[in-house]
Amino acid sequence: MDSFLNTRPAALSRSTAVAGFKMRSKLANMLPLSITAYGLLFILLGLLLFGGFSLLTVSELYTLHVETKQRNLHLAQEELQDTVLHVLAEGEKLAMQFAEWDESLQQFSNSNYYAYWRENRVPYASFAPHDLAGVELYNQAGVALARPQDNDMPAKLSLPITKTTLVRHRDSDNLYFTAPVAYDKQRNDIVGYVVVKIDLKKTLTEKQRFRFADKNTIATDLQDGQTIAAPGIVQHIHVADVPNAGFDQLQDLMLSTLQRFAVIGFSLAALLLYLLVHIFGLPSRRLSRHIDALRHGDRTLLQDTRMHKLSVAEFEKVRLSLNEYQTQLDHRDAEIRESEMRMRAVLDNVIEGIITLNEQGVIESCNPAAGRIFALPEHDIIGRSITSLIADAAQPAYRSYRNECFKIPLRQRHGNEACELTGKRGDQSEFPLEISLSRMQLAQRQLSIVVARDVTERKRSHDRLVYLANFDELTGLPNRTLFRDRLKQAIAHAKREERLVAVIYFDLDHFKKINDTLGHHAGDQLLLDASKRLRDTIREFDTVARLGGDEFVVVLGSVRHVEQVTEIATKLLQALEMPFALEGQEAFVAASAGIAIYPLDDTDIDNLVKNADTAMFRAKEQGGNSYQYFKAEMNAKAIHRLKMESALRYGLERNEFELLYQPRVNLHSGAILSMEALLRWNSQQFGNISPVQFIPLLEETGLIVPVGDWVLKTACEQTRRWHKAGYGLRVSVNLSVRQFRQKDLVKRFRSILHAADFDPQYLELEITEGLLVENMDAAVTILQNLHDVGVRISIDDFGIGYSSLSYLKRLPIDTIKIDRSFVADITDNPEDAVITAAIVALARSLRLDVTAEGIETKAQLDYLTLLGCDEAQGFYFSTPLPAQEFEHHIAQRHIVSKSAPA
Amino acid sequence: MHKLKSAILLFLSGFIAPTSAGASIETATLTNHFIASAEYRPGQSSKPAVLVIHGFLSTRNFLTVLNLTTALADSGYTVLAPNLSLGVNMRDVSLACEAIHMHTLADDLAEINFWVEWLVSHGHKTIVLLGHSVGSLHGLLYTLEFKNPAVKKLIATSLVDMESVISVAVSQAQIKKAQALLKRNDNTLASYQLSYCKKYVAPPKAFLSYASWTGQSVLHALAKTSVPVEVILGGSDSRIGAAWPKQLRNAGVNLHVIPGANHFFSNEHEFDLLDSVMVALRSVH
Repeated sequence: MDSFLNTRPAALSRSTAVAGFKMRSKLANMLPLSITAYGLLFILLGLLLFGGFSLLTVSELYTLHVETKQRNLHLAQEELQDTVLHVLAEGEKLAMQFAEWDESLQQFSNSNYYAYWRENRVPYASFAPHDLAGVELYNQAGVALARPQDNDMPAKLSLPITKTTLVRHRDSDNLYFTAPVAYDKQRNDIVGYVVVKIDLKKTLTEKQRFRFADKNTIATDLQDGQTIAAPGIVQHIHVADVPNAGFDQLQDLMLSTLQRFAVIGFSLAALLLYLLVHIFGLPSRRLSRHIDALRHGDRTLLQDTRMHKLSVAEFEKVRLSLNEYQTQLDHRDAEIRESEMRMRAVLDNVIEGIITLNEQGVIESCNPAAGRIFALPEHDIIGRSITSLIADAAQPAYRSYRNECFKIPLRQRHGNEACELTGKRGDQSEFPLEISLSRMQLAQRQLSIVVARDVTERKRSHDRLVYLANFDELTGLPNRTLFRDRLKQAIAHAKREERLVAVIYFDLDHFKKINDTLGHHAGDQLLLDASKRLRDTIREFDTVARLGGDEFVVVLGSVRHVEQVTEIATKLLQALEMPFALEGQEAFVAASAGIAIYPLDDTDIDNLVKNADTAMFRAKEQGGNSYQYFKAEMNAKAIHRLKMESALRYGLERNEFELLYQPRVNLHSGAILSMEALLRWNSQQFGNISPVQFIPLLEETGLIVPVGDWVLKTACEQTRRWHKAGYGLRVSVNLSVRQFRQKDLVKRFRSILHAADFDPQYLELEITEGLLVENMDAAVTILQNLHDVGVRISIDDFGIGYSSLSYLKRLPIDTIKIDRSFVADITDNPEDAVITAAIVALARSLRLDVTAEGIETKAQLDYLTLLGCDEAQGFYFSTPLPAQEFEHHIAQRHIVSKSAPA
Repeated sequence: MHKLKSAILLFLSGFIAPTSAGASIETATLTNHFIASAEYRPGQSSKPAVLVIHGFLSTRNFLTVLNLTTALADSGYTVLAPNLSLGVNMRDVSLACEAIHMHTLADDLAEINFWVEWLVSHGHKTIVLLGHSVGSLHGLLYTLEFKNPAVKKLIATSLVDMESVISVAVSQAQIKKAQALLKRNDNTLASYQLSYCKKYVAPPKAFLSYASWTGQSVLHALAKTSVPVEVILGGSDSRIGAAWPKQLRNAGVNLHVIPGANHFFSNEHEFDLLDSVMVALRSVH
């Protein structure tokens, strides 16, 4: 059912790029990364980038460190030198400032307070640096105004002192700057000198700021007590190392920055991850689960109260929209399911089979009813061609119906008219099937819908109705309606063939008595038995009908002679005369029959029946158990026929039959090589009866069979005797239709030939074309069997019977015998001459012998001889003669050869 | 900041002063062998010459003094602005409070007299002494010590006594201490509070030469001088006692108070001071 509702999709094409297509499909169908995964990936990438950056930075930093250190060392040295020079300059300036300081000059005026000056004023001079190691004043003679407190300060200067000097004393390197002190600076009248001492190392390490030099590595290369005067001082001060403070700072900064970045980064990453997970990841996962559940049809999450509000507005919107959409889908789904269930129920319960076909006519789906109709499981039906469910004989009808249906445009959406076919079930049994085919378009596909109905019952009902409309329910015999139809057909047929039709009206005698005494059941049984007897008695193509009550009517069609009617009527009465077994008792019923003949009595059906009825009453008045013709003279004829028929039955017993032999002259040699055996009847009662009269009667009565055997036997025995006499004659006998119908014909003939010790090659069977009408195939088989025995076959009365000549190539024919009717006027009627010539030519071309019958004149003989005819037969040569006379006749004629068998 | 400002002004004055028309720096060896200098700006002979005396330990380039010097010179007055040597040759910077102060007030007065006589020797018969702060006290005490007839007037701006900033009690104690040392011929340097100096290092004699001039002493001096004195004070001078103006008035001093001006007549009061000085000078013929 499901397969019926779900139309099978079209199959995927299998191109050479299917692998790539599958891969792309697989990749396309893969789900993207989750937010958490993206977040982790982002964090991982960030960490990788950070790590890489850090490594790169450290590497560059180290390189930078080395380069910077070298550069810085150089710069430090330069810086140190510059600094020293600056210190020297500053020191000189300081000395000059002290020299120019009014308070310094004051000391030279009054040195009483020199100690106070040195201790309290010098350190607090605005220009005095904090690292001033010492200041001393010296008089013009270079003697210190006071005893220097610092032993490094000389008590007496070595004059002239003009240069700044660097003196190493013990562990200290001191710079001494000397400046003259004058009263009048403009006049430069020097009153003394000031010497400023600066601790170089202390100054450099504590007071100076170096960008490059490391204070801790500044050193001089002086020896203790060594004195170096400027400007050479710079050359003796070196930087052993540079801290690369910048680098250190940079490194520290970098490390601290990296640490901070790491901390910040990790914190941010953790925060981001937290945010991603909790704000985006978890909600998105919940949302994803929600969607996934919905995708798989799980609706429980819709009612899950734990699916509380998501933290992201967009997700929340999606969730709400999903829920709303899902609710709508559920409603729609429910509606669809309900609709499907309704549809399913309809399709499951409908009694018609509903089948869908694709464009190729292959069944894609079907309902259970289809399975029941075709007695196949539904899955077995699917995939078949619809034609597999239709009987072979009905295929053309189906195709024609289908083509008509396909001519109707799709837009005309109405069902097409139904078509009755023969269906085929799974067990190959056939049944009446009615289908109606409609076309539809579904998803770009054109499908066909076949509604199938097993109309067996309907047909049966219809047939029954038809049957009941035409047949008597009790006896099964045609009823009045059908009888009339049969009679009409028989009359039409007889009219074409110029035959007679007999209507025999039967009325059972004493039926009422039987019905009253034995009951209706016995009466019905009587009717049944009577109808059976009547049916069994008549010919196959005759009709027995029950008109009602105890009245029956028989229609004998294609009657040649009234005598046939008499005979059949007599048989029918005889059949009804036999006792009936009713209710365990024997009952004698008999019947009265009235006969009307078409067209002799009337041509109107109703009149015929009425006439037959009238005749029946006449028979009943005469005591019943008899028949009466409507016309009295027919009665006489019927009686005469009966009598003759009776006489014929005893003809064989009474040896009333005789064979005459008529010679057939070979026109090439003029010799008599064969003869035809002709039956004659010398009735003791009726005298010599013409074959025209008694032979049809023999045929009708079936006496032709035993008589025919007798003819064959007699002819063979006689001809055998002649063979022994030295006459190699061939005898031909006529084979009747009734004989030909005998199933054991060949067997009997073989038996007769064997009994007569007769060589089959000397026997020729003459058949008429009418014998071939009924069943050509059977005729071919029988004749071939006879021919195989060795018997020759000839077609008698050729040209006036069967219209089709195709049998000539199928039948084992040896001779064609031209009918006498063509021979009679062969010399006068050009048409007969032409026909005869054509027959001869036909026989020649088919390598058949041709015999002309009815030769009565020499002219006919000459003409036929001229045409090339092989044999001739007729009064011109001899009438049919009795055996003795024939023997005498042939003795007088020259026989070409004595080729008779021994 | 003040120092910076003074330094900047001082620096600029170095450009301004020499560029003034006719201005010259006169140097002289004093009797104490110190070499002193004074800026001389000759003016109109019809106008008196003004000898400008700077404040305690200061120089002629102190802003208040410099402004007066410049303005008077621009007004056509002959101006002579010396730097008192204070024991320093060619002193041209302020002497620190902490410096050893060997100079005495008498030395200062003798030096002022030197310059007065210099002016006379250069033909200036009418001389007005214009002092600022302790320079006004110098001028007052000069008029008492050296009665030079050429000195016609004393204009004493921001006249103070040596106790004006410190308390009387401290002042008296210091004086007593110094007197004790002097009495013992002990010339030990000591640190005293004197004027605005919280640490004035000087031997006792040098200290006492200034410190003894208390307010009363100054008032007495004002009463005793024969030279007309006109005192100009700032109404907001924080270096004088609140009673000082009244005391001066009571002493019969010609006092002009410029409201809102401080001890240095800063900002707009500079012009008020100048106007007052001009007015005071106009009376001198």
